[in-house]
Amino acid sequence: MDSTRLLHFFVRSICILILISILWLTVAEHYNRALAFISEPFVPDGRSIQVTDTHIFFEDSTTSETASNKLFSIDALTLHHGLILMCSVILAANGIRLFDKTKSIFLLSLISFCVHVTLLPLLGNSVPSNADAYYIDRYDISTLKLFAVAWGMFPAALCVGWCFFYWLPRTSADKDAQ
Amino acid sequence: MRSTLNVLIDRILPAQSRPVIMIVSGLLLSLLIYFGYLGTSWVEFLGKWTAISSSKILNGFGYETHVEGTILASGQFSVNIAPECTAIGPIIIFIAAVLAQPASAKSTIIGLILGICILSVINLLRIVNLFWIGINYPDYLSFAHLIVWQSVMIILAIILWLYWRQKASSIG
Repeated sequence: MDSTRLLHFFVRSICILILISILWLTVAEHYNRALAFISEPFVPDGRSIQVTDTHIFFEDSTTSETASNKLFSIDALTLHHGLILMCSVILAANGIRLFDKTKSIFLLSLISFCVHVTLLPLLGNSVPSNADAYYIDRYDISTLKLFAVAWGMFPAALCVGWCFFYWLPRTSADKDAQ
Repeated sequence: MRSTLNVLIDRILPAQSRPVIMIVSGLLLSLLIYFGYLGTSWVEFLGKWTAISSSKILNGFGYETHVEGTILASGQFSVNIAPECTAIGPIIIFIAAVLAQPASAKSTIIGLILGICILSVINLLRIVNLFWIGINYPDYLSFAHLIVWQSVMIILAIILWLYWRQKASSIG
């Protein structure tokens, strides 16, 4: 791939990223509700997953009789970033038909969704009952590390893998054909 | 000795499947390294370095900032440089992708050094920009921080890898 195509890819990916990010804000809460709905049966009894705008809370009603205790809060945009990143990279890639891009987006989004659905119950199960949403010192550090790898690095690794296995062989084939 | 090693490598990793195995194992290894890195004292060190460097740039632009540990603060705004706020994630992915690609040792080393430097400098600009957004447009901070800049860093790492790949193949 030559420098001009790379520059085009860069500009396109940034433009698409910003566009998708803005559009995503309109569906982010629905996505979180879907995540919470699927994940809720897998969190321990007495705990629930609540969604407010872009935030997801784990609440515990067993320790207090009057009000639910907020155990853990995540800004779900951390989870969403991988999805948006993958869509931006795939849509910005040149030399691939729209239908093939759609297939890739569907597949990678499905993988991402499965990772998110796995992460939420994992967090819900690992958070101790005396945790407080504002002090992370009480959490299981290994789960938090796994969470950071899953939202921060896994989508990046998927993107590089997609470029290597799917996109680059096609751009090389185009070059050979020319 | 060298030829025996090459024969052994050829037997274990057939030439056709070598790039596939290299990239998959490289990426998996990068995830493991990042997982391990998060529990080390390097997190604190790199966080402090990022905070101090960003503070110097911000002070150059007239913001009166100071650093306490990994907290970068001014009279108007403060941020904690979390492990994810350093450039280490994109750098690890970039290193894994570059090392998985067959190239001469010289171009690999040059590529790695330049890539790491570029990603580190852009990450500092990211922190400076986020600090500016935090002061002037605080409502947009989490959007810019968690979605836009986080993704831009990974896209840059991918582009640097693709650029290096093109240069390395044209030289090699």
